[in-house]
Amino acid sequence: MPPSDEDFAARLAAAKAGDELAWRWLFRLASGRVVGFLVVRGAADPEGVAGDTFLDMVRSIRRFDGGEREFVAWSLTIAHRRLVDARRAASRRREIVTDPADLEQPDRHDVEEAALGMVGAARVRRLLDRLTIDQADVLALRIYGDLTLPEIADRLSKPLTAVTSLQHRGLEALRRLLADPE
Amino acid sequence: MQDEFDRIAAELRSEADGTVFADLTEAAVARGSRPRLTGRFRRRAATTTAAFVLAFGGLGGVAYAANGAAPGDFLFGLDRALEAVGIGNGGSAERLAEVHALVEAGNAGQGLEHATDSLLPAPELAGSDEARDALLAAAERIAQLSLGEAAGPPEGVADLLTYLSENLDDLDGQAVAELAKAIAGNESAGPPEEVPVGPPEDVPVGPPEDVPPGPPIPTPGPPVSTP
Repeated sequence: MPPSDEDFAARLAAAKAGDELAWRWLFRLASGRVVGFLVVRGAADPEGVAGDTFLDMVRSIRRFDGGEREFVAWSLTIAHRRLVDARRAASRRREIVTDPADLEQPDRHDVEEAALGMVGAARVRRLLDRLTIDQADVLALRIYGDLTLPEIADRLSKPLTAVTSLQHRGLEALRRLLADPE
Repeated sequence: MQDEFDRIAAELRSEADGTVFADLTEAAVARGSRPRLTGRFRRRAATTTAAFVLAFGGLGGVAYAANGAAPGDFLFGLDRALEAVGIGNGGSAERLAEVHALVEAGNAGQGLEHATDSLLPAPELAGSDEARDALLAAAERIAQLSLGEAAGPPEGVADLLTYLSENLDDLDGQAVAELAKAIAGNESAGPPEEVPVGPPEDVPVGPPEDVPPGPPIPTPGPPVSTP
């Protein structure tokens, strides 16, 4: 049963005061969504990025104000920021050398995502991988954060019309991919 | 299409909310700081998990992952987050309990590494460096021997754990070093089929510190009279 607004407010206040049990409760609330989002968005190291995300959440919880839905959306917003950081860091150290032996191995993502219990997310990741980064970000934030389009526009610092268009094109692409996966 | 998207979204949210991850997260907070696995052990754990998932797939892999070490990398990040704000740090007693848990789980080498990182006296105190080196050497020795759970904790580990338990608030670096050296130098820590070749437990390894190297110095004594 979802927590009442009063429940959430009380736990949030306790977490802000450093209460361990309250943190357990809050992490339970958001952790699956955060990791699911990171898996769907193809994070190379979803566990590591999730750890960084929670580190940010702990550091900035005192500035957060809102209910349960806003809390999940807030955690997803931070996860997106950390994912962008991780992508930038990865692109800086990327080496364009592929060991032929690696080509024989199963997809590393598949193994890790199965280990995380994110089989459905892994399936959707393969579809989103074929969209543009912006389209996939918008759809993933809609899915896991249940964010509205104005909220996504705010989080991604894009005009609402642009985000609306990205969602429309993303859904169209998704429809085509679902109809013809090959 | 919106309906199809809503259906997929609902499925994914349900999967995320029901993932083992939520349990892992809660366990991490409950335990506070967890053992810090070094690069060597992390790589090994990740490889093991990947191999297991590949071999059994599906729920078997997921179930293993819940208890395995690869998701622990995430937990490590969470621990860092919580400790950064002073949450979940149970102090040395909790660290010792983690060492015990690792040893009991058949990971004596990791247990010793964890003890090295979390329990030793401050670096500036006498014997700390020696204890660190000796504990890591013992951990390395255990890793080389690839001891499995079936073999049980290597000989000497129980003595070390007992000492740590009884002296947790006032650990002596040199005492820890001696106990760790006994583990590293104890050949009986190897697989059962190996024949022990090391010195017996009660014989100190190496010369005593106060005996200079070289031939023994003749002891002067009274002349022996001959009839």
